[in-house]
Amino acid sequence: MFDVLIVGSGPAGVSSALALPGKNVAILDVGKRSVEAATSSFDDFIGANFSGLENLTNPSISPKLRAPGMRFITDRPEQDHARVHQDGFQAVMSYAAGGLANAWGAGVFEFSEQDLRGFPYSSHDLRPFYNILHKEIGVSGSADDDLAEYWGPAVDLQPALKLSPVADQILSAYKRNRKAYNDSGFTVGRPRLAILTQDYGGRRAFAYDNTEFYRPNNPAIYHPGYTLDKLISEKKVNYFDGQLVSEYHETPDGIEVFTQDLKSSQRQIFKAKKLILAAGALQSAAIVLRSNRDFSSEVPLMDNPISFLPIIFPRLFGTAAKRNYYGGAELVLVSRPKDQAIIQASIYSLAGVMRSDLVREFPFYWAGNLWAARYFSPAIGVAQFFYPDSIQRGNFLKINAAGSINIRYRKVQDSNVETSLARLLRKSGFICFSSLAKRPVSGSSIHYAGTLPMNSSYKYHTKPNGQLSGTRNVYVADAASFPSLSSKNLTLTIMANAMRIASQIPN
Amino acid sequence: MDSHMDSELRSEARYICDSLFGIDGDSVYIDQYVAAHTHVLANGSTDQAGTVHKIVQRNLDVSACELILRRKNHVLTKKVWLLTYLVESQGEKQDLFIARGDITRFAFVAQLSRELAVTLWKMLKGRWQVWRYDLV
Repeated sequence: MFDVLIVGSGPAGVSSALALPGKNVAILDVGKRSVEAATSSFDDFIGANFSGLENLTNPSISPKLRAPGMRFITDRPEQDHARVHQDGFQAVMSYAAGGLANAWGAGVFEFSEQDLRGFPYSSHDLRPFYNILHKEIGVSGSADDDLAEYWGPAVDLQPALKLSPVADQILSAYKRNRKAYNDSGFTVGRPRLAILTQDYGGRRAFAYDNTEFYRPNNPAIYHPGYTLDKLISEKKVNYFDGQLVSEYHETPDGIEVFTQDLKSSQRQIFKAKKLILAAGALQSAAIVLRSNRDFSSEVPLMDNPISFLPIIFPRLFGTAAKRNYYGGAELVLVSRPKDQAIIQASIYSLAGVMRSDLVREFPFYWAGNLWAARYFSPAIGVAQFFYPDSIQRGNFLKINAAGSINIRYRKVQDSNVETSLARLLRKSGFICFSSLAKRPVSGSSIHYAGTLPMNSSYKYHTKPNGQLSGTRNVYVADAASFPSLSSKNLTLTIMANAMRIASQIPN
Repeated sequence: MDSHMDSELRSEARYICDSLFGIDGDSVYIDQYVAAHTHVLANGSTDQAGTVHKIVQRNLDVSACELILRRKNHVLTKKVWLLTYLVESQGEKQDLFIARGDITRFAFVAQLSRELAVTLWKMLKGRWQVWRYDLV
């Protein structure tokens, strides 16, 4: 019998394990891994089974998740328990070792007291774990720009990544017109990223080789799989891959967890004193519902609505492509609308994507669009807005009799933040119109939370110490326990909270 | 996929490659184009597939017709887009996709004006061809 069983090896799973030194810990995981290294640009972009072209029929899929080398992240087992039926939502789930964070945006954002409004713990409670995680991950960013205070204290912060020309122009425009931006509630600065700009902990600094969207396991970009492999090699956890967890049963002396072994198709039972659910907000809730044979209850579901606003700096039209920049978030824009929750946007250049991804976006005939993709794209940036979410009636997850997940979600998003930003940017010489903003289907942010919230008014809820209501030995370590959802990327806080919960589990 | 379908797709690939990129559809693109259809474009509308066949058979202007049919999210646009991805991913025709050097502002404006003018012409031509040949 193990002391603790952890379900899942994503951010919550590995962080829980980190906080359980000296305990006999096992991680149960499907544990898909990347298959083989690409040997040509065709392998990088398209792949033998043409998965890189999925956007032809599914326009909402992100370039990162459709890349052949990254497909292992979202590959699902065939079993009913891994199926999702959805209405108004496009769920993205991972069964990979390291979880969805294999393709995360690498934003390392601490939650402030405002972000934790409604939570039964404070940023003070998370502080020690944030500090440990900063050291584990290796973080780069700026310690002295306008967002430094917003991000909070920096531990061993490495220098920020270099900026692409279009991001540099946006930051310069902000600095020139800081008062106007600040008066309108906007602040712009560098993000804190889990990307090394200097060698650290046996990992190499970022190489600016434009492969971060296509090739997994970039050593400069942290993902929980690195911590998982370290825990395994140091024999701090017992790792069981190929295990699809279906349900648990509490016993007088602990807990039994039932899995399907995907290699042998046999049912297996693992026994432990305590169980930590860390399979992600969707799967953890599904495991709880299956364990209770509850096919009728609807548990709440939150997701950050997102939108994409193009920002064009016409003076860069016609310039040569300079692609040796990071393709992810180079800047962060924070909007503090009066009497409303904070809205956060990540700003990207188009350095990371194929020109073919852009070619349909222009209004010319096809060859003209190719020309435009060639000479317009160095001038184009994109602001990806993340909006906060709260638990709302009508947005829910349940399971059916086969154990598959059913999701229904109706997006409510009313904000004029894009209009205000576009107006300011136009005054600074940019072409930017809120009417050009795109709003993808709900679920695209992949920031899911609140299915087992820390709010006792729900049938299935999590107590402040992480214990699941109605159980003695089950704890919830992932974002299922979040009672509200800030606009900040939640991964670091999932990890810190998972450590907080695991460290409090009694012997 | 039967041999008739296979040969139809090969003709399409050659015709679109030549029309849009001004390059011979070499066997790499053509083989990939045919294979990609079974993975990503297997469930297209048969009417729209017939339209593409008609465009190839009658030597119509692919880019003019595509410009008009694009609004319908037509399978022709998906086929053209697919071929664009295949060409870019081969890495040999990078000048079609990546600007290697800066161009002057004058050259940029001149080229932009040309692309606008050609687009207008293609729009007129496309409307006429779509009407004349009943392309759906």
